[in-house]
Amino acid sequence: MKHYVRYLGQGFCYLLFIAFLGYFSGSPSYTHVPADKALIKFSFTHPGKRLVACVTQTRAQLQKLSPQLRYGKKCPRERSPLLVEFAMDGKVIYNAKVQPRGLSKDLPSPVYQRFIVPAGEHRFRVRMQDDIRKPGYPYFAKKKIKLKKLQTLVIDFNNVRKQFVFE
Amino acid sequence: MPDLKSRTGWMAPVELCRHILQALEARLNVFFGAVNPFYHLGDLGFYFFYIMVITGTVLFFYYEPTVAGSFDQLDYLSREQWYFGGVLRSLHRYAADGMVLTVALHILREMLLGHFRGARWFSWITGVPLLVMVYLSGILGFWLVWNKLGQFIAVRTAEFLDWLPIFASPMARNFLHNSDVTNLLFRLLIVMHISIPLLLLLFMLLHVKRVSKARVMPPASLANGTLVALLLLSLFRPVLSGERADLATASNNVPIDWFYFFPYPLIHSWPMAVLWTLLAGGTLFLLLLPWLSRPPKRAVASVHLEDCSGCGYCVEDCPYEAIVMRERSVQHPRFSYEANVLEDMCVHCGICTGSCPSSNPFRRRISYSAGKETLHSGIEMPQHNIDALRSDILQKLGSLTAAKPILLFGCQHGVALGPFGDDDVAPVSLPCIGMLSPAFIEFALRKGAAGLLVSGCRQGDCYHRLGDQWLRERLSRQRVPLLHRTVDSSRIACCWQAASDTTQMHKEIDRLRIRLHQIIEN
Ligand code: HEM
Repeated sequence: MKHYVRYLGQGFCYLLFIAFLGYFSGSPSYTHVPADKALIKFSFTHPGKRLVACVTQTRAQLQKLSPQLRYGKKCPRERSPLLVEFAMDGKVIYNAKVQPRGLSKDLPSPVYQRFIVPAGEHRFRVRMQDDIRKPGYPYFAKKKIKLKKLQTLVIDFNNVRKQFVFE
Repeated sequence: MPDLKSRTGWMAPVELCRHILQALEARLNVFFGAVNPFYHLGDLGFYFFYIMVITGTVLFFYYEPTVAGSFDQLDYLSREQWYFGGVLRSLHRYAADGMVLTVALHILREMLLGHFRGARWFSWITGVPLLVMVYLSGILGFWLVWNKLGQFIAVRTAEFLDWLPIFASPMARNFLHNSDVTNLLFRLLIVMHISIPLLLLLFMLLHVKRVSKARVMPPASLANGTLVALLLLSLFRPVLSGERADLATASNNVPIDWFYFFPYPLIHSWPMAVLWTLLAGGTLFLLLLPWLSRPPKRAVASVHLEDCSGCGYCVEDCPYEAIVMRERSVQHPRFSYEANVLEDMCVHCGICTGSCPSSNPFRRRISYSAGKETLHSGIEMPQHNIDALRSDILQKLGSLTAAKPILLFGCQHGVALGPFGDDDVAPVSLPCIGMLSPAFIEFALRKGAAGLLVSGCRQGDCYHRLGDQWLRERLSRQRVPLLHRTVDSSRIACCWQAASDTTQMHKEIDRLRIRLHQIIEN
């Protein structure tokens, strides 16, 4: 084969290569949240109440233990799961019993949920119970918000003030 | 078409894919010959890495590891200094894309050609962490720009990792508000974006540790062509930052780099459990592949001390670093060293036999141990020894009744020789054509062959990497052991083709017939 045909062929292959590289390095673009929608991130972490209260150990019980384990109180570490509910425009869109993290279930329970919703005005209601043994939802919030297109609304829980925050 | 009926079960699609790959390579061979980029995917991977290191080092001096600075600086480079900083940035990005592309093709190709088997397990297994590190370096790099794509990657990566119940608080909570993202994060990212590629380099060197004469730089023409192509791409389609990251606004219309992030859109479309199962299952499959199809255990090369002079040619030629020279175990008045075979690394290709000067069929002699006349090479395969090869040649020549007999030498990985047997053609099959020592060519011609056709895998694509190259160099008298000067080279033809290219072999045999006719008539 003539030299110049080989070079032309090679040039064509390089062109194909860069066309492929150039195109797929940024196109087609990806849309997860359509332009007329908004994104809600409902996320917080909160430690549930301890399921078993600490018990004071008797002297006899302590005597049976080796010296380095002789604590006055015995505190089982397991925490209660959280009962969480999230409603938008009167409809419950998330309702879950969220287990605590950790091998001994002694860490906070994490919540991280995403919802793509139409932009515009919505009524939100969130509530949470952190003690499975009790009825009702001690933590509660209601809010009406007008969401802009592509806005990300974060609904969090402030563990210091013990209330839900809409940001 | 390959004979798919002869393959059953899962091998049939593999065979078909291999055929498609070889057909594509044949098209590229027309323009590229032995510098076919498909034969250089590993070295191209290295090359893209070098480009990234050089451009990345310069970019590092411009980069400011802060939330605002990271975006501003790179954006400034692309807009205000497009002719230098911008080109460097684009080169860095396109080389990263090129690396992923070539590495993906490299794995696919090595897998289809069965290069994970036997002693090659080492390169295969060390390749798997490379894949992970290439990917991690890429994720960090895109993240550093802190534009809309960086935001998308940061959030999705965190959401993906959060499926594992190992973090007390979800990682994705670090990206809820703009104020959650701190300068410290960017300092950490840049440190990781430098240290992971350094680790990658170490593993890349480990990856080719057992590959003798590994190519870590593509041939000049391919390297230059690739660089010019990347430069053109960088000038005509420069990489731009687009919009700054803003966690208060949802990512929409993200210009995804599909080479890295093709699975990312699945993160919220498929169940996480399925994605993690695919990821873990895929990795496990890659790690176990060498053991899922073990080749039958065969005897490795053995050294005959009586015939080994310790010249070291076999060490030089072995493609698998499976031979070392050690001090002679039994004293010899003239020779100080002997070849030693590392059993785990030998793949019984026979290339060492081809390189041994004692692989000479003319020096048959009485073996006192065997009590009869036999022939041994200093190093050879017990199941393919040179005495058997010598007998095979003599027997095949004896069986040919035609006036101008042709011996067809070939290997187990190129075109299958069986169907080419004819009144005037007899096939002699070897594990690799590199096993054919030039003395056997001379022997076959002296014992009555009118001509010889030497065949093997496509040029630059030898199954055993170097077998065809060594033989070509010997035939052109550039590599020891040399083809003897008295041998008439015009009686020797070569055909370097993949297993599926039978037509070319027919053509070469016919051409040789005509040539022999002309030589003998004249
Ligand atoms: C950063 C990514 C990688 C680079 C730069 C790279 C580079 C190379 C190079 C330069 C060679 C030697 C080629 C030669 O000289 O013949 C090679 C061989 C090989 N690579 Fe890779 N590789 C990479 C990733 C992988 C991966 C992910 C796998 C598989 C899981 C893999 C499997 C192999 C195998 C099986 C060989 C063949 C060794 C032989 O022929 O004996 N590589 N690679």
